[in-house]
Amino acid sequence: MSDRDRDRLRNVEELFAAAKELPRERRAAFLAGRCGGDEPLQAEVATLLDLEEGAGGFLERAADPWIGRRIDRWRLLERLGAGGMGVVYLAARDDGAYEQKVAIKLLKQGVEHDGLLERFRRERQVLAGLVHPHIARLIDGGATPENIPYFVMEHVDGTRLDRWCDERRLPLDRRLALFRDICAAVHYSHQNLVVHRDLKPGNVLVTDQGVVKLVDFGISKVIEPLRPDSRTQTFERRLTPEYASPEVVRGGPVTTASDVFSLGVVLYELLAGTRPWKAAEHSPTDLERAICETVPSRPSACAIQPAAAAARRHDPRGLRRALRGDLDAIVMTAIAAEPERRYASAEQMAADLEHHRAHEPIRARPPGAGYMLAKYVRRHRALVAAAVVALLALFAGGAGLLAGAAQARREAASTQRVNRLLQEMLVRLEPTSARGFAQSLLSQLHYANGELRSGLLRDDPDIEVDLRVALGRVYGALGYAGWARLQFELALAMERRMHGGRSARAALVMRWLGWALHHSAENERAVGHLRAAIALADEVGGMEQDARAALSDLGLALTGLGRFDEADAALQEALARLRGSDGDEARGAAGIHTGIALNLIARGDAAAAEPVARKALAMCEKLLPETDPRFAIALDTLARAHRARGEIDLAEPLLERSLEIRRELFDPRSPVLAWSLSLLAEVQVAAGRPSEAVPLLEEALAIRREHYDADSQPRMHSLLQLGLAQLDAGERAEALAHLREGVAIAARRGDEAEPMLRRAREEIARLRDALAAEE
Amino acid sequence: MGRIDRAGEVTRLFAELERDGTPAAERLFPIVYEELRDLAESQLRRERPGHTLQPTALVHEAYLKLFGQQEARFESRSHFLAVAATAMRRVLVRHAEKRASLKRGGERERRSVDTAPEMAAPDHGEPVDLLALDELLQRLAQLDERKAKVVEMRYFAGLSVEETAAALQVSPATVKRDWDFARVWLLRELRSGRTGGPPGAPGG
Repeated sequence: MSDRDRDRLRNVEELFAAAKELPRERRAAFLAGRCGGDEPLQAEVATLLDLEEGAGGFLERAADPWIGRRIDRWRLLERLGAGGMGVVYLAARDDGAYEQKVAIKLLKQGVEHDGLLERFRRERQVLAGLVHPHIARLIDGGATPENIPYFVMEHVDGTRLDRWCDERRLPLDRRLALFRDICAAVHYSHQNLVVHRDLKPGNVLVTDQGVVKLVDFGISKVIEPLRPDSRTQTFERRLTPEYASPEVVRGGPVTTASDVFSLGVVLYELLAGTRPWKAAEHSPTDLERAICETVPSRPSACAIQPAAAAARRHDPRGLRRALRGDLDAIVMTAIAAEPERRYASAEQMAADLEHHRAHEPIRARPPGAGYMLAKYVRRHRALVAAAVVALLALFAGGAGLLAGAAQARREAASTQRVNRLLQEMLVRLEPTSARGFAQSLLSQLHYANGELRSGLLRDDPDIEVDLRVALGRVYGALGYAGWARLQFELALAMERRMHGGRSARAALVMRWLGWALHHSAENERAVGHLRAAIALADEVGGMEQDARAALSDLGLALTGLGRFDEADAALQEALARLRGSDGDEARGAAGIHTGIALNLIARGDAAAAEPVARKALAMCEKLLPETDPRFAIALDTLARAHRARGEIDLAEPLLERSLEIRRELFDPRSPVLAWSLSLLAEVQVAAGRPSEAVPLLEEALAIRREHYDADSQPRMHSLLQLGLAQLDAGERAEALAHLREGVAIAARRGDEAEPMLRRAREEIARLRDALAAEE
Repeated sequence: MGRIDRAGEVTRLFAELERDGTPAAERLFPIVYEELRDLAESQLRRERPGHTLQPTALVHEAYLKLFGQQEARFESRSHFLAVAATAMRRVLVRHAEKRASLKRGGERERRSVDTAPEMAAPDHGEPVDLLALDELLQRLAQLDERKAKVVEMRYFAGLSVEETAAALQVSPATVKRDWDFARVWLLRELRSGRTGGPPGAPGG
């Protein structure tokens, strides 16, 4: 192809476009004039013009079989766009009665049709009765012969709100004026008992004349049945999560207050150019969690892009200044997590905006720091307690960990240094979300570890031991047994070097080390340390609680090794010791009973395990707050008892609940979560729903890849479990890869104990043959 | 790519796309292609005789599957759809080639009427020879890249005029003009049988 060819095409096209505009009779003359005797050129354009007449639906219709079709009295003309619910077409009256153009929304295949027409008929009366200058009317609705539901709506020839404003670079006051119209429309509809349910910029159109029109009022209610379906995959959810309120995200009822919330989010974006919770930064479940748990930055405090500021005729600093104060307060009131803290109506919100415009005082007040902190602490008591208690114990003077042991004299300088370190750590903790807290706590722990490595307490190794134990306990509380283990190992080594390893503190460290080893799946070593810890604790005396805890963990470790009788012995001894003491009795008992139940399950006696597990769970329910890791363990145990007896439908809800608790408490990369995911996934596969299990197992594998060594048992387990689930779900290629990797690890470990191995090997062979045959 | 990795990657690329447009679009392509191919394959496997594959529906299905219900800026969504159009074209052409080669034992053979029944919409317009169309589009692209892109987007991904305009960063009027012309040009070339293959091979 040469430049000449390209030029030629351009010529032809220009002539074609120009001639097309003319009435047919005038074309020949026009072309003759413009072509100046170039007959081939003239002929070519003429041919094309002729073809155009007869081209009909070439390419146009085949791509979209709906165009040109007739629905009721309208004929579909062109596709206007598509959304989550379906596709929208422009249509016109086919009987030529008059030039009415409408927008017809065809619901996407696969949308829940059950009872939809029923609901639509009920709603139609109400929805069609919504007549307001800022609401696009719903005209009609029905179903096509193929049973695809459709809605006929007033066609709004307009642009989305955000685009319209940005294109014209509207300053804040003009944007607010538009927004007040939106509030009026929403309020009108609320007074007519219609809740929009899906307010977002995409549903707010602005015509060229600057008239705002809300579309899709109340349609979600028709489409979505009232009972929430917990099995629905994220991408089938109809509501746009980014604009949905926490109560709606959690599956609760939609009310006018949730509409107010959505309005608040729209206003936020209209003013600041960014959203309070961004889908791009979260996975769908994380986004929902973020919406429910976090308080976002105020509009004036969020990340403002220069382009966004420019679209509002400001620079970022100027925009911040303009938003600070009243507008911040109005937005934050509208998007308050609790419905009762929001504006009671869209009208109230508009009223405050009007006050602001008139420089009068507004009703809303910005949330105080105290409020936010109080809310956070209430939600995350267990996590905060576990972590901060350990840290603060140290803060209080150095050896608070030793139960009843005498405090040795410490050098003032070292204590100073430790205190300062802890202060730094605490100050940098970020209390605005569970995730934020856990992650920043984790980095602070790493930071502290780094400081120790660099010799912060070189001159006072005793304090270093204490501090390392504290760090280890906090790592453990966050679910990172591996890192906890490192701290305890270092602490033990130092303790032995300094004091010979026969002290109370040595017993303590060994007990914790044993705990960490068990949770790192190294049960052999765990048993050794735990037994030593118990013996030493008994010898030193005055360490009853620690000895009991060690016995309890010993039982778990022995169960893990398959030494069931020994495990039972240890646990019974722990129970016996418990009866002989006072204080923390009931809580300790719950943990021991759980251990007994687990042991019974492991040795195959699920029938006997169930009542014990139930008892443990009852104790936990009575004594512990819901977000407590021990609660989750008790739930798991009962679930596993059910599972062992084939009672899958009893096991599953328990495991779901325990996973929820753990998601609440732990960092998403915490290995504890991997374990929980694995349990739940196993049950889902057993229930015949492997495709639900696959994402959970992928998450678990990702966590384990990060935390465990390449040839570790947990990694192998995850690979095999995931591979088999993918196989059941029909994802053969991916299954094969994971199974292969898992089997390879087993080979390198010389490990034949894993029950999934046999099936894995069989399936690998079968898959290989099948795939080879297909090629 | 495992599903978690893919979802994370896509989310990252999409965020990039929102910020700076085209470069991320290229990296999106393999992911989108894979997704569309899987969707198309599963739809085609369930094919009944006369069953119509709806590329438009597939593209939107892929979009939802990859991005969920994220409220994307209109422009970046259009960019994505542009990428998806190319991917969709590749999927369909490959499929048509496979079918053609299975039927004729190897040669990439052209039949003027309906090689790919999947694209036929029996009651609307004339059936399209996909392989010929693909080749003609390549030729058109050498003469006028934008027009070929317009056709690719509107036909293979079913983008509206507005969406196409946003993706190509031109006015809707320009898109309409390109579209009107390209259609007839393609129609002419298709009917004249001037599609390739070895010289002297039978055309229409």
